[in-house]
Formats: sequence, C-alpha cells, structure tokens
Amino acid sequence: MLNSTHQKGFKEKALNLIILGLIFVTALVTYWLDQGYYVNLVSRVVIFAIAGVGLNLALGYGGMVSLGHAAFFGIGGYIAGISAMHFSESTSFIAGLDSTNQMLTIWLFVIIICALLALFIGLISLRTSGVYFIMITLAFAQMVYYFAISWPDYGGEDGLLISSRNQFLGNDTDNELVFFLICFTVLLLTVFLSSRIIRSRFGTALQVARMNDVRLATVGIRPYPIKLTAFVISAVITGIAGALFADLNRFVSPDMLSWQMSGEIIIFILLGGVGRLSGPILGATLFVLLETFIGGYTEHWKLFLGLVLLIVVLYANGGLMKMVVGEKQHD
Amino acid sequence: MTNSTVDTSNSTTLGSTVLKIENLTKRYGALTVSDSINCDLKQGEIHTLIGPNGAGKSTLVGQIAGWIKPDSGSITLNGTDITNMNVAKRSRLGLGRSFQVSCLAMELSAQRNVMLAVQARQGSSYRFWKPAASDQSLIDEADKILDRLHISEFKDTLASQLSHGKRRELEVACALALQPKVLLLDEPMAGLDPASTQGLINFLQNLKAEIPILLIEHDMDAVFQLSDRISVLVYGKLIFSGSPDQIKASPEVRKAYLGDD
Repeated sequence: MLNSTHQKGFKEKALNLIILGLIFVTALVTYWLDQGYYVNLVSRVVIFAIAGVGLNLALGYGGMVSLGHAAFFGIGGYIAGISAMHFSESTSFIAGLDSTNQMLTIWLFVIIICALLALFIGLISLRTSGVYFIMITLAFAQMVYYFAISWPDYGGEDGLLISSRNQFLGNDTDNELVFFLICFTVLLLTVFLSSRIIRSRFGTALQVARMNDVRLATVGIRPYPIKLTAFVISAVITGIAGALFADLNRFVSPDMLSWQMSGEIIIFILLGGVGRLSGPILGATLFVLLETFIGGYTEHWKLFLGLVLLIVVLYANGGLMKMVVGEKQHD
Repeated sequence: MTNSTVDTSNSTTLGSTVLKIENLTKRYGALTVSDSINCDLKQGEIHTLIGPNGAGKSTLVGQIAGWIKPDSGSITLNGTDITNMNVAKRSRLGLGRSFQVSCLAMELSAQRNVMLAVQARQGSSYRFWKPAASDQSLIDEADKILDRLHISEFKDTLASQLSHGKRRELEVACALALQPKVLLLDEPMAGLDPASTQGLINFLQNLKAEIPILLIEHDMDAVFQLSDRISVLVYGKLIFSGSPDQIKASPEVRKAYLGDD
C-alpha cells in the first residue's frame, strides 16, 4: 500500500513536469514558427495558471473559497497599468512617488498593496466561513470593482491602455518569447514556492485547518492566523499574475476586477483539481483552449465550458489531475 | 460534610491542585446547565465525572476546553486563570484532551496526526520551507508516543481508516504529544472492545502519576478501577464527590444515578 502511495506521488510529480515541459515547448515551437499570437496565448495560459496557483493555496489547501480574488488580480493589473501610464507621461504617482516601468519594482508594489488589502479583507472575512465567506469576499471585490469604474483618472469604465509594456531589467518585453519566459519563470517560482509551503509545517497546519479546525485548535494552533497568512500569500501571487496580465494585453479594465474573473480563477482550479499542485495549470490550459478554439466558432463558448465543468465535477470530482493520476496523496 | 473530609485526606496523600473550577455557571435561557460547579484536579490523581445523560457533562467539558463561555465562575490551570482564553491558548498552557466523538485530521495518517501535535508543542507552525513529513524531530517523538500507546503498527494508516477504538487511542496519543499538565478525557472507553478497554485502563493507571486526568466515563467498571475521586453531576449540579467506595455507599448517588437495585 505504501508502495502504491509512492508510485502515485511519483506519477503526480512526473505529470507536473510534463505539463510544464509541454507549455515551454509549445511556446518555443510557436515562436520558432513565427506565430506570435500563439506565443501570447501560451503566456495567457501561464498567467491564468499563476493566478490559479495563488488561489489554490487559499481554496484548495486552506478550504477558503474566495470569490473575491479578482480584486487582487485586478489591482495587480491596475498597478502595472497606472505605472506604465505615469511613466509614459513622465508624471509621478499620487503620493509624489517617481513612476517606474520596471516590472520588478512594480511587482514589489503589487506585493505590498495586495498583502495589505488581503490582510484587511481576510481579517474580516475569516470571521465567517462557508457561504458567508464566499459572499463577503465577493462583496469586497465588488467594492474594488465599482471604485475602479468610478475613478475617471485611470480610465474608469473604459479601462486603461498601456502604450508600451513595462520592462524587465534590460530585456525587450515586447518580444513574445521574452515576455513568455518572464511569465513562465514566475509560474515556476510560484509552483515551487507553493509546493514548499504546502509541505512545510505551516502547510500541514493550513491543511488541517481545512480538514478539521477543531483538531487544529485542540493541539494549540489557532486556525484563524494560519488561514489569514495563507490568504495573504494567495492574494499576493494572484496579484502578480494580474500585473503580468495587464502587460500581456497592454490593457487593464474593470473586467479584471469583476466577479466573473473571480469565478474563472475558481474554474481553473475546479477543472484541474482542487488542492493539486498542477491543477490550476491544467485547468487554465483547458480553459484557454476552449476559449480560443470553440470561441473561434461561437461566442457562446462558455456553454461548452459549462458542460465540461459539469462533466468534470460530476464524473471526476477532483478534476483532470484525478482522472490522470488518481486520488490526492498526503505525504 | 463527607466532601471536606475526603478533600483533606486527598490533599495530604496527593499533590497540589492543578485544575480548579470555581462557581462555574452556564445557563441556556431558563435552563441552568452548569450550576455553580466547584471541582478540582490534583497532581497524581484521576478524578472522574459521572452523571446521567443530560446532566451537563459535555457543557462542563466544553467550558473547561474553551469552546463554551461560562456565564460566571472561573477556571484556573496551574494558578493561571484560563476562563477567557481561547482553545488553542489553553492547549499550549497544558490542557490536553480527547473528544467524545473522534476529532482527528481524517485525511492524514495516524503518525501525521501525532506529528501535528508535536509540531504544535514545539511552537513552530510558521515555518514555510522545510518539509514537515520528513522532519526527523517530529517523526521520532511521534513514533515514541504511538509506541507507548501500542498503536505503532497503524502509524501509516489514515485516521479515516482506523477503527473507532484506534481513533480514540490516537486522540489520547495526540493529547500526550502536547506534554500536557492536565488531561481531559471525554469518554475514552466508548466503543472500545473489552481487551482495548483493559489496555487503556492499565495505560491511564500508569499515566496518572505523570499527568493528572479529569475523566468523563460511562463504563462503570473502568470508573471504579481507575478513579481516585468520583464526582456526580446531576441536572448541572455536583451532588456528591468522594472516593469510589464512598460513591458506592452513598444513598443519594444510588438514587440519582446508579439506580435503586
């Protein structure tokens, strides 16, 4: 029995590597074939996957079903967009801060602001659980959404165009492959980071908080700060994904903050496998494939997405990961 | 009258007071579930609470563990007032417990359940990098405790796949991993087969010198074998407290609890 457990663990690790390898190769090949559109499409998958990996930490491992992660995704996007705008206009931020178009500096801002906002939202939302938690995170995200709509300086309802992508050190981020490589590196880092976190002592506590918070409290660990910490880390990762997404599209709009966006990040996880390391990557891939190829025939492609989601939830509760490598293992 | 004589004899033969419950009162509307309960636990003893169903045992346990807030009264652990502390903090101060209905991380193995408790005792749950499952300091200590309860052979079994009885023993193991000052065991024998029951009785008998135990139990054989003191809870009131022999001899207890036969 122990043996089969190890085999499954090995299979899952192998699958994780295969998925990442396939994504990398696809980007290389399409770039080599001079299909910039498809390279960007792979970057889109990678960015959605990062957002999903972020949410998975809260939703999959911590059992916190946040329907408000678009707030972090969108804020990450807006920080990237606003920085780019000020930089191109050579104006400074509200607080008189010099504007920058360096992604690394922008991401630092994203990390700080998303962490603070997640701390605030989490402090309040985590006093509730279940449906109430879902609704309260949704409510916070909606507040951010309407705030963005009603702030004309940064495009309001129309959104904000990014005239040229933010820069990553000295690299040409307008080159599709360079931009893909940046996204892909971030994905690798977040996957690695979350694989360390979930296997650490903190990760154990977080997962027990999901399974049985009475047990966690009984051994002397308060579930609330454990969950809050995970919620903040989760939000930060999703925020970075948002910053990349704005640069990819050279556009940010309140759509990135909408509840549909939150729902889509959840769908990546549901499709791929809740609480599985590669779940969101698989889910995001399937999502973008459906969006692109069925979306090419009909604008009602979400009907098919719904159908696929229905099938996965009904017949493979545990997502694609479960279909391929079987039940989740705890090492 | 009987109470005071028992208490003095206890304090000379047994150690100092570890857990003290004073005037604890809890009401749900008009119903008083805990009616100024005074009760204590001394070093080296097993003090058992018995009482018919609905006597308020679970509510009392809930208040001691920290899930239920009393309306008035106080609970003191080793001289520290814990009345307003949350569950986790009480555990860290040394209150270990097992539950009437198993409360484990069912998706984890028995070993991982104990390792979680070891990790909690070490006070190190905000480490984000090193894998916990292969952490030798957690494994070694967990294995020692599993061994002590003779459930080592089940260490790789998921808690969800353990028998009812083994889960109870695993809960005791988790509680011990906290190196508690006091053990609060809520019906640990319920659902155990006779051999396991006897095994657990022997185990607790040996354990009490190390950790005093406040026991809630229905199995009267076990209660009389194990207890140094027994208190009887009826309708939220402690009506009697004394040695097993005094309990057996008490007409009030007979009437209220053991039946007239």
